[in-house]
Amino acid sequence: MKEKPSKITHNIANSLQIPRDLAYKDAIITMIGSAELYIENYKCILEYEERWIIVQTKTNKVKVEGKHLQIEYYTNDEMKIKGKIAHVFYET
Amino acid sequence: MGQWIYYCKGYLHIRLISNMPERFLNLCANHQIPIWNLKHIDNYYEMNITVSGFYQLKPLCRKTCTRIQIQGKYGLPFFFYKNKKRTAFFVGIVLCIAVLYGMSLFIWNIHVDGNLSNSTQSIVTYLEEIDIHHGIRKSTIDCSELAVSIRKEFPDIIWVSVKIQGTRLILHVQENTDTYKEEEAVNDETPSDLVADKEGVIVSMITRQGVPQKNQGEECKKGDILVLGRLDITDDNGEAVRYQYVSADADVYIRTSYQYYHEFPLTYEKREYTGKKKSSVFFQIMDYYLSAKRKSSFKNYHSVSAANRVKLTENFYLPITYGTLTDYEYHMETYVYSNNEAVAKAEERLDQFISRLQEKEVTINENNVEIEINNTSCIAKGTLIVIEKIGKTVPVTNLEQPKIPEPESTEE
Repeated sequence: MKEKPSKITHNIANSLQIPRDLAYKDAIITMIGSAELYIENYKCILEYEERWIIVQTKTNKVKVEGKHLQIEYYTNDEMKIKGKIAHVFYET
Repeated sequence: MGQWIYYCKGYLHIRLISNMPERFLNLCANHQIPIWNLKHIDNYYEMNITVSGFYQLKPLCRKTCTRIQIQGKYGLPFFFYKNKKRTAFFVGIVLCIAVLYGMSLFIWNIHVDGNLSNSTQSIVTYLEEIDIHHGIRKSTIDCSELAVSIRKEFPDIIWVSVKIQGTRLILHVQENTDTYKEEEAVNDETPSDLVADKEGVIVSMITRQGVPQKNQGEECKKGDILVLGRLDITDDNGEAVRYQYVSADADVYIRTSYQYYHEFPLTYEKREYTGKKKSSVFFQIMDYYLSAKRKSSFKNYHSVSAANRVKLTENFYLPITYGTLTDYEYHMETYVYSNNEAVAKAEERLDQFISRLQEKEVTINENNVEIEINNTSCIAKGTLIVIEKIGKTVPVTNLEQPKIPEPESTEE
């Protein structure tokens, strides 16, 4: 499932200094304090409970743990999570 | 901003009962159905969804075996639907919009800036004179014409910008800060003599035009001709052959004296305020005056009124005034000047007199004023010797031109 970028692609991306989120579609996670978290370039929601949210990105899963987690909005590739965020894990 | 658009278009608050909620949510994202404020409460998921998005949910629900309950309907379309029987409410909204639009067609504020020597009030008063006032229709104002007329009316305003912004008429003016004024050229070529208007001894005389009739050190009396405006053109024999008339012009300074006498009594009365006061309010609409004031119980008092005029915008005053009237009680006390105080007061009066003279470019040469104090009054009297400029122009008396004898013709 996980397509590894070919060596040529890797070299081109490195030499042109293209950011990883564009070149490899890596997820961007931005946290503002411990109350707001933005995830860009995610693929789908795997689990959503009040205490955790697991989101699939291209390379791995991202698990956000906390209390009273709420998805303020989400679109095809962007999501904003509000609540008391305690941990953010990367699961391979 | 996004929330406001959702409110205008209407949205639903729904509850999701499903075994595969995540799949449902991912399908919504794939179908680009906007969902926000998604919460997990107990075993349910609650969220907001647009009305158009809600109609797209049916196949997704079938696919994921999901049941949906509508918890609430929000936004303008639902609000109008709920209140469709309240016609007065909607008529009110329409009227409000109509009144707002109607009001926006008029000028409600006149703002002037950049003016220093011309007061805002004087400019606004001029605008009223040319029928530009608060409440005038915006379409009747011609900004460029108004700017031209303001420049004409106020010569020291050198630049005017008039613009209408919303319901405001804004005037930016630039005044001429250069206070230099060209002296009026004295081109009065009417033949005239310079005549003394006071008597005294001439101390200095500089003649620019005309024939001086007096010399320095000579005494002149009121009415004496100082400089004659008639020039006698003489021939070789010294006989006048022609009179030429000019406007006599000279600086003549004389030494003269002023008699000074000032007497004032040593006793005087002064108001002593008791500190008691009574305040009341008043209200005035045009000529109708309403006051809560009763007849004052004070024997001697004076009233101070502080009035405020009601205004709608910065220069839009209404004929409504309100304020307070305060009576301050006093009684008259009699005091007597001490010798020092009396002398100081007399000197103060004399200084005022001298400074008034100095304003008229009179130089004080000698001051022989003495101050005496008797039992009842203080008297300052004496003479002030001053040097001052005199001379007033009077039309010259025209003389008949002398007859020139015909030159004798010699026959060859």
